[in-house]
Formats: sequence, C-alpha cells, structure tokens
Amino acid sequence: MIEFGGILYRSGSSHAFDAVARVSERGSVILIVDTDSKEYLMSEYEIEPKLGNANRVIRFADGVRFESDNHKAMAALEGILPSGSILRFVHWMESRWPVALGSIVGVVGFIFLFFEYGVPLTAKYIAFEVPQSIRRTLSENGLRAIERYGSFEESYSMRMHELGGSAFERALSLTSDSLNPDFDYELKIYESQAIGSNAFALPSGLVVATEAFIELCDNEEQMVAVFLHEIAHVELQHGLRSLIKDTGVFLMLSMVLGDLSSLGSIAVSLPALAIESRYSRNFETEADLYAGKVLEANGIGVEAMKDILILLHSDLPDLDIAQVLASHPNLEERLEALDSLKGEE
Amino acid sequence: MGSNEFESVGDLQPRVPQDPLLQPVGFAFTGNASEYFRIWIVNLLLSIITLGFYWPWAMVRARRYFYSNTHLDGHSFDYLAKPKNLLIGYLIVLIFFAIYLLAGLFNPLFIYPVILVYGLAAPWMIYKAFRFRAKNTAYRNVRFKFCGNLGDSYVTFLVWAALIPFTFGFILPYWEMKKKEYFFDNLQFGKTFFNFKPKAVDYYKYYLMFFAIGMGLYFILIFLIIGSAAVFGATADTSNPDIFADEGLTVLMIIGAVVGYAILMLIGVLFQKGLWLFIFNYNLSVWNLGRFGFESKMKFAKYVGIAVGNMFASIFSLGLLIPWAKIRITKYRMENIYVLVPEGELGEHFEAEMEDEGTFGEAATDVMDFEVGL
Repeated sequence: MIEFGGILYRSGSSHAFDAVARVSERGSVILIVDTDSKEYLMSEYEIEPKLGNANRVIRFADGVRFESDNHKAMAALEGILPSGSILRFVHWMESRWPVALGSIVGVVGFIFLFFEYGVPLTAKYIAFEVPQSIRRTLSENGLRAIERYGSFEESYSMRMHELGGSAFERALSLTSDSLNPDFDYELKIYESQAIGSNAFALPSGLVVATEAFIELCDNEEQMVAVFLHEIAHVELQHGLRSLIKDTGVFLMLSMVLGDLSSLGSIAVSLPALAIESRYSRNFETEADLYAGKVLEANGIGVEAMKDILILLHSDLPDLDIAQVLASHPNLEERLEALDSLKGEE
Repeated sequence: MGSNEFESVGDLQPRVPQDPLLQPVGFAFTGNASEYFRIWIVNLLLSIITLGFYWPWAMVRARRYFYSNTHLDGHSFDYLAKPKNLLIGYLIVLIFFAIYLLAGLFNPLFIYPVILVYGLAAPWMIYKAFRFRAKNTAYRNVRFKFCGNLGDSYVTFLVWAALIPFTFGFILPYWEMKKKEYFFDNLQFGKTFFNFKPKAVDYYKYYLMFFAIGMGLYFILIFLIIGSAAVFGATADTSNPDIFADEGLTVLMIIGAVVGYAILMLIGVLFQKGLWLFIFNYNLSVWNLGRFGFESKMKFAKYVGIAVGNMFASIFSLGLLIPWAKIRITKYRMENIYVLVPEGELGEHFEAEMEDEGTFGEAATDVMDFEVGL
C-alpha cells in the first residue's frame, strides 16, 4: 500500500489542509484530512503529467486538488494505473541530458533535411500542378509590379522586335519537340534604363528582354543562348518553385523562431534571405546547363552562351563580399559548368 | 475596524505601497535553466518532427513549467489549459494565414478584404483569449476569471485604435491605458474582483519622457551617420565613379551597416523594455484585489541590462540560450513583485465561483487561446 502526505484544497475554497493520500492496489485513492476521509475510484481522478521537479498534482472529479512533493510515491501510483500517458515518455526524454543533446542534433538535422529536400520537392510538385490561368495572373501581376518602379516601358522599335523575335523563334524551334504544351511562350521587349541589359522569364512562359540586352549581343546565337536559358526557367518552373519555397521557408522560420523567442522579425528575415538566394543559384546553373545542352546538340556550341555571359558580366561585376547573398553564381563557376558539357560529347 | 477602512477605500483609490500596515509578500521562482532547456529542446524537436502539430502540447508544457515554478506564500500557480483547445485556436490562425497568403498570390488587392475581416475579428479573438487565459490560471485551487464584455473589447481595440491616425498618434498612451484597463480591471480571482485605476496623466508622463529620450538618441545617431559619411566621402577615391569597384570600401560599408544595425537594435530594446518597465511598475501600484495591493521593485538599469544581455546571448548562441534567457528574466520579474497584505494570512479565505467547481475533465472547453501580448 502506498501512503503519502501533501496539501489538499477543497473545491471552491483557497484554504489549504494537510492531508494524507492512501492508494489501494486496485488504484483507488483515499484522501484523509484529520478524521475526515473520502475514497475516489480510478476514474475519478487525474494526475497531472510530471514536469521537471515541480510538485505533483492530482485533481479529483469533485474539484479537490491534492499536491505533493513525494515524487517516489507518485511514481508508484502511476505504476499501478493501467494506461500511461505519452507525456510520461516525454518527461523521460526531458530528464536526460544525452536526449537533450541528441535533440539539438535532431533539430538541426531535421531543419537541414527539410530545407534541402522537403521544401524543394514539395514546391516542385505543387508548381507543376498549378493551372496555367493562375500562372498567367501571377506573371501579369509580377510584370505590373516591375512597371510600377517606373522607366520600364515596352519598346516601340521595329528593329528590336525583329531581332529579338527571330532569335526567340529560333530558340523555341530548337526545343520544340520537348516543350511542355501548358505554357504560352511570348517575348516582350522593354526599353529600360531601370534594369540595364537583362532578360528574365515569368512562370506563364512570358519572356522579357531589354533593348540594351539585344544591343549587347554580338550575334543571334548569343541571343538564342540566353532565350534558351529563360525557356529553361519556364520549363522547369523555377519562378513558381522559388515563390512556393520562399513561402514555405518563411512560414517555417516564423513558426519556429517567432513562437519560441521574442527576437522579432529581424532574426527571421536574414536566414530566409540566405537560403532563398541559394535556391535560385542552383536554378541558374540548371538553366545554363539546359541551354548549353540544346546549343551543343544543334551544333551552335556552348561558346555562344559563354560569350554572352562574359558580355553580361562586364555590365555587372562580381563582388566577393556579396557572393553569399548573390542570386547568380559567379561567372567562373558558370563558365566551368558549361565547359563540362563539352567533355560529354 | 481596520479592515473596514480598507474595504471602503479599496474600490476608489489605489493602495499606497508605503502604507505601514501592508506587509509585502514576495513571489518566488524555482525554475532553472538546465531543466527548462531540456523541456524546451524536446518541445522544439517534437514540434518540428510532427510538422507543428505537437506545438499546443509543447505550449502547455512550457507554460505549466513556468506556472508551477512560480510560488506565492509557498503555494504554486496552476496552468490548466487543455492542449486540444489550444490546437483549435492554432488551426484557425493557420487557416487564416493560409487564406491571406493565397489571396496575395492571386491578386495583391485580395489581401485587403482579408485584412479587414481580420481587423473585425481581432477584438473578439482578444476577448476569447483573455477569458481562456484567465480561466486556465489558478492559485490555491481557485481560478481567475475575466469578466470583461465583448462590446468593450470592440470599443477598446477597434474604435479607439481607429482614432489613432486622426489624432496624429496623440491618443496612443491613452489607448495603451485603455487596453490595460480592459484586462486588469475586469479580472477576478474566484469571487473577488480586481480593481485597476490608472490615471491618464501618468501614462502621458512616461510616454513623453521616453519620446523625448528617443528623439534625442535619434538625432545623435543621425548626426553620427552624417559625420561618418562625410569622413568616408573625403577619403574615397572620387576619380572612380563606380564605388562598388573599390572592394575595401564595400567591406567597410557592410561593417558599418552591421554596427549601425546593432546600435539601432540596442536603442530599440532600451526604449521598448524601459517603457514597458515603467508602465508595468506603475500598473501594479494602481492595481488591487480587494484588500490586497501590489508592488513591483524592478529597477530600470537592472531590467534593461538583463533584456539586452538576453538578446545578444540568444542571437550569438543561435537560439540555444533562449531558455536560459527566459528563465533569467522571469526570475528577476517574479522576485521583485510583491503582494501587499494588510494583516493575517494571505490567500486563506478566497472563495471560488461556484460555476467553476471542478477543474477536472471537460469543465474548461472554451475553444480559443491566441497569443496576445499584455
């Protein structure tokens, strides 16, 4: 028989009594205050899960609260009860330092796997399931957002449209047998002081090039190379995947950090930025290789791609210090990756 | 006779802490960082491997740890919330957040109706959260109770808040006071009511003091930034129009930005925590529970020192010292808060509300609890 002392509060009053709890083998508890006693069946009380070294508390169906610091007796009582709460196992974990240290490893490992594989795979799956109508809305909104920055207007130059259009058609025809019919490919040419010589793709298949970019190209092949790179972004849905990934990363970080600390949003935004930019660097390399392969297979050669990368790069030099946060891999890495394709032939 | 005097004064005027008849009885906090760290890291692990679904259980465990290690006159506090009830509130917030994100994806304009709905629902959620939190807090087997009404919540959190822009923020201190009043003045311990009677003048005094200090620091900072920019400008190679070409300068600029950011955060913490402390100390001095008063003896320098130390420790330990920081600040708070007891024993004769009978089973099935900063 287990018997132990504690403090008892009756229902409805803050008055504390010294009391004794006596536990029978069948799990019923008799509470004794002075000469007064009452028996409770196993179904008439609830033991609060153990937590740290705080006193143990039993709550009874009639509102009585019994508190005791006799941890040994309470453990014995819990031993009699048929079903143990899962929280007893949680307490077992919490009271061991090796488990705590293992948990740190577990947390770091899980976060790594989650960001490295979980989020990208989920984003990839979702991105291709999104209906084209939504992609179109997203792309139009995206373009409008850029236009709002000002000095970004569509080009009226016939020559630019001819030059760009013919290169774009050629890029599409080189890949025509492998293109996903879901996307509506379209080229738009912008005159832009805002973003210099540049080209980018939006999820619906809309490709945007600036006049400065078209002028920068020495020949049509270089333009084709860049358009193939942009088509790769669309075919592989890099834009939408990044968007979904960013949202996932943001949600996860704000859930974990936001709730468990009061550090605020500052701590949340910095790591998100670093993780997010690494995603798009992988995507850039992937798009380079896609374009490079098509160029090699059609006898144009990766040189066109390499040349235009060098030309584009001279407009926007690498800064070592900014490399970690840069969205494009640096030039040397990109050229080396393209050279590796030549070896495969 | 003495007790009658206290009762007649109690409802009208805040208790004067220096009253010689009042004995301060302190709180004690027995939580320790080593124990809490293990609870915290296991909570974190289980929360992320269950993709967040363990979170309500983690929350209850963490709160129970703090409550059960907080003692007043040798008796500890109870946190009685059921994780299932927290889970429902948590899912509602999650669904709402998902709607917000999706609406933004379709069309940025769609988020405005979502924000509007959220704004209209917020006072209701705050009201529910206050009720839930109070009801699930108990001391000596007597529960607290929040008896404020929903209409007041809308007046406090919607009507007054809507007036802020029209008054150029001038009613902000008053609004802060109204918010505190809504909570502190509507709280009950069992059948006994709390009274909270702050004066707007005092709130304005503290806000103006911090506003003046803040503006002063702001101008000093601006002056320093302009000064250092001028020094940089003089030394930089102006013959090269592309300043990014000079890598040394770029490095200096980044270091400057980081240091500037750290200083800004420091000032932010000083400001936020300092103001919080002054207001908190004041609030306790104008709060009472029947014949009992309250007093906080927390000191500005000590409290802000702990807060700043906690912030840097949490950042540089990549979050691992967050549990230590939480224990440290809670210990300081608890050990400097006192209940002013007129005579005799503390807490022996409180009666619970009869409807509250029994904290067992499904008595507490109110569904909502949201984190609302108090």
